[in-house]
Amino acid sequence: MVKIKPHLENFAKRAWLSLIAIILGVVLSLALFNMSFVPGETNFEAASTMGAATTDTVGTADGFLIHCLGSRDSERCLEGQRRRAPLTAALWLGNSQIHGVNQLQPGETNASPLLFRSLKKRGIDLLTFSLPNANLQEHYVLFEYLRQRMPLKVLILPVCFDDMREEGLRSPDVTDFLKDSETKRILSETLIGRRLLKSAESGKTTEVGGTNDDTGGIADSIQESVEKSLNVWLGDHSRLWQLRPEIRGWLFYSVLYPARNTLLGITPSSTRRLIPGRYRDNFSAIEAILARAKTADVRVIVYVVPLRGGVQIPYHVAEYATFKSDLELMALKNGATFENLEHLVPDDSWGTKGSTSLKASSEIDFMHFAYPGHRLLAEALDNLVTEAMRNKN
Amino acid sequence: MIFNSVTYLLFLALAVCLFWTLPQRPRLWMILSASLIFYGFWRPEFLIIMLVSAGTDFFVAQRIQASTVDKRRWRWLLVSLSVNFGLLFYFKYLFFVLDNAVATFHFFGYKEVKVPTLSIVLPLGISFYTFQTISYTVDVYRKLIFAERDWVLYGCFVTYFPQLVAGPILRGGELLGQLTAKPCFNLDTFVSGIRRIVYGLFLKVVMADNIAPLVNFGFEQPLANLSALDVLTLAFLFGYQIYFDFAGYSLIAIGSARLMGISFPENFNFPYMATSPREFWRRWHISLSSWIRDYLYLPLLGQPVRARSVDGLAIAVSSGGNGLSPTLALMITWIIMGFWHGANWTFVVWGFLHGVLIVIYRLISPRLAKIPSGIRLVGGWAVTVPIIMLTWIPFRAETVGAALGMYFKLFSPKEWTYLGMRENTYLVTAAIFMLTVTFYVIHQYAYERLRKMQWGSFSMDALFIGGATSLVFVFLRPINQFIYFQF
Repeated sequence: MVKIKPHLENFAKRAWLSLIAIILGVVLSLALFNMSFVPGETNFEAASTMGAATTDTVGTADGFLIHCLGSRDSERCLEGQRRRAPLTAALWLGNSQIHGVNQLQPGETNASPLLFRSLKKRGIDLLTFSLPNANLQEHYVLFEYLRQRMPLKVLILPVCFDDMREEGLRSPDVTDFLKDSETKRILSETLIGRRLLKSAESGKTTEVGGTNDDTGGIADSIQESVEKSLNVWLGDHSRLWQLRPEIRGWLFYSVLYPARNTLLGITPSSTRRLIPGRYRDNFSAIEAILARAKTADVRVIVYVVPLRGGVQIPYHVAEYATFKSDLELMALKNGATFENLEHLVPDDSWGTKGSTSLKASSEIDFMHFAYPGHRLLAEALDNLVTEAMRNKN
Repeated sequence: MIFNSVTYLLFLALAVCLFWTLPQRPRLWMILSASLIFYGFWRPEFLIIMLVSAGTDFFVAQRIQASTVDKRRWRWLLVSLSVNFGLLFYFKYLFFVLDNAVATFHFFGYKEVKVPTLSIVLPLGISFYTFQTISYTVDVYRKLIFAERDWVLYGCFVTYFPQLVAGPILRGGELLGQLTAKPCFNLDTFVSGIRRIVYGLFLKVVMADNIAPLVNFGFEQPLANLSALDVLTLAFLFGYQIYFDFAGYSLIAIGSARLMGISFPENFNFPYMATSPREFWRRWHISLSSWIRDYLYLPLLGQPVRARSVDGLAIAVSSGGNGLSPTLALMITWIIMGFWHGANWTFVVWGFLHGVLIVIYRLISPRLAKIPSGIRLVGGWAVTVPIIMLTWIPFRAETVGAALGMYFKLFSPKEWTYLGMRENTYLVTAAIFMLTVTFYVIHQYAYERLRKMQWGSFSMDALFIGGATSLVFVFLRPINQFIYFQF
């Protein structure tokens, strides 16, 4: 009989223990994922921009959308307008403040259908396009694309300080519009437009929810088709494998994001400082929009978006003041209407949102207000559009 | 085939099963075929180029060994070098040379000269496998190893899939013997292979691939939008990205080979804990540094070479060689080292900067030796790491102008007064910095002690490997190639 030396025996035992430990660790951690992750519980895009207490809502008219959230549904908006065949159209571009309604109750809606109905009485057909955290460079692309497809006479352009901190074009919701050659040609006439085109052409875009191209590293190789088939097979046979994209989002938005906020004490009131380069780029985009609108005989209403009052604002006071005066100056210089709607929505129309930290269960929402606020916003804009059209005539 | 994919994991599992079940000769055939399939999964037509390079060296090495006349041996060596460097030049550097030649003509007023339209695709891993075959032939020429007569075995050496595309670059003496020896299954080596693959995948798919968007977005910003702190942050962030990417690749390569009982030398050893530029090159891409040392730097100095892929480039050179002066040899070596990475002046600048850093370190190191060792080490680390990180700027920037523009920001006081990127970028960078330092401290001072304790080892494996595997499970997808694939 072969006798194993004691130290070799220990060696083998240790290796077996390691293997068991690895298998145990893998099984336990995957089981943990399986138990702690509830599929479909979180709308990651909404959670990152609006919070769980805010619901996005878009209106329709005659079965067609009148409010779109990007290129994916743009044709459904435009088709509806083509069928309504208006002589005068208005376009409202914005961020999630327009489509997000805090504490939405049955029968309530956001501002865009309200404004649509009131403007319709005056013969103006309104289309609204809003994207979460949309920056002004994205609005510039949308404006140039949509302007050619509607009898545009009025542009409503809300400007939010937070959006001046954003940069780049998201893919595919905005970059899809660049497939239109005329839009590209028009954009190439301005410096900021050329930069946006260059970025988009070299694939330098912001992907919604991270990259969607799971096989980007093996594109056009034999491995690409094999990998895709394997993924489909694994998805068909494993629920956990199928849920991987959702788990990735959950890890970022429900684990890392709250952990970061808790550790560093980040709250909605934490000061968001101005980012000089992005601020300049976004102002260049506003300037390009206003200049184009002027030559195209489009009346522009620029407004500072409503902001929650009664609490400390999440901006550096001096930077925010400079932003408002810069915007006013830019609007007036280009013959646009400027309105500061910062204090339009009373304190009681603002709600709370699901907490983005591990400590609290809810936190105040600076960006999204409840239905009464949307009603007030629609009324204010109705007045501004009416006034602008009167001045135009 | 790319490592960070389900395809590779299945392919590896199959290859490992066959490796341990087949007898010796069929096993070699299996390795060769698996390696060719592995490479062909990208672009099968480029197999021919690899086979031309490998075939030339197989034939030439035998001619060199058969010949006793030095002149004839030298001529055969030149044939090998011409073929390998010729391939490398055509696929990697031809467009760069033409482009620069045309730019020179334009500079002197000959504006009508145009760059010819070329459609050249860089074959995956060409810089690695040509270096490996060159080292084989040179080693035969130097009589360090015998020329291999078995072309299947030789084919396995050149194409062995775990290290084919991006190294570690191995010498004939390091791999051929292991391939011919009868493999002996060792569970401990096997488990350590699994451990390395998991850690390697973790570094690539969880760390590097998630840092990449931040780095890309930062480097795509117009220069005017970046502050000095942004430049420093991006340098650190890219430094971590390329480290996690390449160290991850190397760990998967080493782990995959270990599953087959084959041992590769280490390629990384906590490079960002280096306390001097010289030490950095003992810790970073060790197999390439060692290759450059033995086939370029030491021959330039006229000093005896070593024959193993360890210790890297940063070696103390004894005086008395009959070649170039150490400084000149060092600068030539570094510029070539930079150029090896890519046909762009940015890589030359990167190599030049590292050469200068090592020369400066050599000049001041006698004075540094007088400083108490604790202060010297901590201070050396605190100075070395930011400088090394900043040298990554030309490596990542698209042009030398862009890199210089970023460097100039660092010297302008007003550029330090604002931040040009979202706060998360700085937070992520700081978090990674702290994590890597913490991990190093744990690894150095607690890991081995815990490993010796049975339950310590068990808990660590369950916790770390289990946690890392589950994250790899969630993030595993070939969204990006490994950065070094492009070299």
